[in-house]
Amino acid sequence: MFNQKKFVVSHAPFWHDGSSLSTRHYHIMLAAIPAVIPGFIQYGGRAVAVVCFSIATAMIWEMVVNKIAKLPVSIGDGNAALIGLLLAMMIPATTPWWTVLVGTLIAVVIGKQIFGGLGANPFNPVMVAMAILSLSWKGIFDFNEALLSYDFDFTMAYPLSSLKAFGPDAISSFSMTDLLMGRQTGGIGSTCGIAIIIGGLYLIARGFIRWEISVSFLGGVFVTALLFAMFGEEGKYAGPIFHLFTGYTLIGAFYLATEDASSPVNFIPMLIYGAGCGIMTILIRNIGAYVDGVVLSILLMNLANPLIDKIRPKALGKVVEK
Amino acid sequence: MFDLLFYLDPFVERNECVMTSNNELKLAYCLTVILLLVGGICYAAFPVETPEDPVRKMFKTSAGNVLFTHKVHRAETGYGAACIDCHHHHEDDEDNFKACGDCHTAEPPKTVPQNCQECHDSVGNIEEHHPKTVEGEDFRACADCHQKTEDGSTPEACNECHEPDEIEGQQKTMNFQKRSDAFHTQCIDCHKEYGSGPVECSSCHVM
Repeated sequence: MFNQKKFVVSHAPFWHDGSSLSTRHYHIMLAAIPAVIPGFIQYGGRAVAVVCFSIATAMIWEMVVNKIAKLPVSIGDGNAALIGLLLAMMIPATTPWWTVLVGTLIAVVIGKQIFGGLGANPFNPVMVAMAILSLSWKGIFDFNEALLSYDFDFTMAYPLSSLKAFGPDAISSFSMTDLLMGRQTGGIGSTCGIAIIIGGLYLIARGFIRWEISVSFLGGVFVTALLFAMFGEEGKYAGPIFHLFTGYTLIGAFYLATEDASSPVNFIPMLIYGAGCGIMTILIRNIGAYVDGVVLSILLMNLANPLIDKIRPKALGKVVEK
Repeated sequence: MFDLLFYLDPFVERNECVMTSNNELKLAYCLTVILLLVGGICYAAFPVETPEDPVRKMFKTSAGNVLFTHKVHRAETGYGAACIDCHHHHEDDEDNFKACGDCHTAEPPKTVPQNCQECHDSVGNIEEHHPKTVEGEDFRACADCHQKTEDGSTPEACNECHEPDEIEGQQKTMNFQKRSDAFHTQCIDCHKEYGSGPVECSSCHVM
């Protein structure tokens, strides 16, 4: 007797289980708050200004586009707010208001709405904005230059810049515990590794992001950095733990690479996509021109996403030609 | 109930699918207004201020930026340098510093300054630094050399009045190093003197 378990599907009417886009987006924002708080504590009111202004302007831009396109106002789904929050988490607390305004314009209008809005964007909108902003106003987004006037009780040089310019000897003053606990310079919400990991694990546990992408991203970073450290020129490359806890690695793995529309949906493609992001990140950091490679690696893998997602199970059955 | 029916309606237009419930929209509107206000107020209340005694300074150069730890050099718990150690001034007056670029320009100076008081605050100070115009002679009056010519201009270079052998060895008093040379001399000489600190290009310049 054939006794395979089957899905039980009942007939209509169906009942909405209450989950919605807004639930998902507000939960991601909630999970990100522990990572933002250390930024507020370190940089004070200025960090609050950047975060609040970024979220508000992202929502305003979305409203403006909705009105121009004569579409229903879609800010209720929380996606614009999420874009604003993630952008603010990546930029220094000294970012001027007009740069935030331009950043959210790029993210919401160019990164998302031009392509058709939520779910239709081929690239992560936040990544598009970060790439354009950091290429356009290099000084504003260079953490060493932006945070010149801040003085905390830890090494204030941006770890990845020190590594890039002076090699692994220059990063000996950074302890891994310090890096994990957010005692490093960087974006408002991208330095406190432990808080980002806790938020990420919450999102994975609740099913809001896919573990396959996050784990393979971090795995790609770890393995590639390890290979460079083991087989590369001696004394030239930093170890894998340093790369995991610095720059945008953790926020990239949990909050950026996992963006729905620009990442794959099948199991193998998700692993390839995540690993590709991680590998590219280290390649750019170790042999590329840029200090951090997360933004460009995610954009590159976003580009490859439709192709990678072609790897999927064959449909059952076949066409029989008569 | 209306929302539920809306979601379940298979004939709904695609562009209407993004419609969210009124409550979500109201929440979003409130959030936007509140955050915009808080953001604006915080931007106004917390401007980025550069302290009078800088923490760090970034020297931007074509050979790569240099991040200089000003506070560490200055602090007693750091290298304990006095202001005058680096911000040398012809009058040795700790209360009257000039910006480095006032004398050490980005490009090498080709002419002497047009006006003595661009650099010198007093005549005594001029005599201190520019005493021997000609070997073996006493001080001259400024106007002996720096007199206005017929076209109304003042001499722009020593050799407009002096023969090269006449001022040999004296030119250095007016020969300011350009800014990059001055900084290199300042930093490297001090690091060598104390046997500590970087002296190689790639140890300071972020390429």
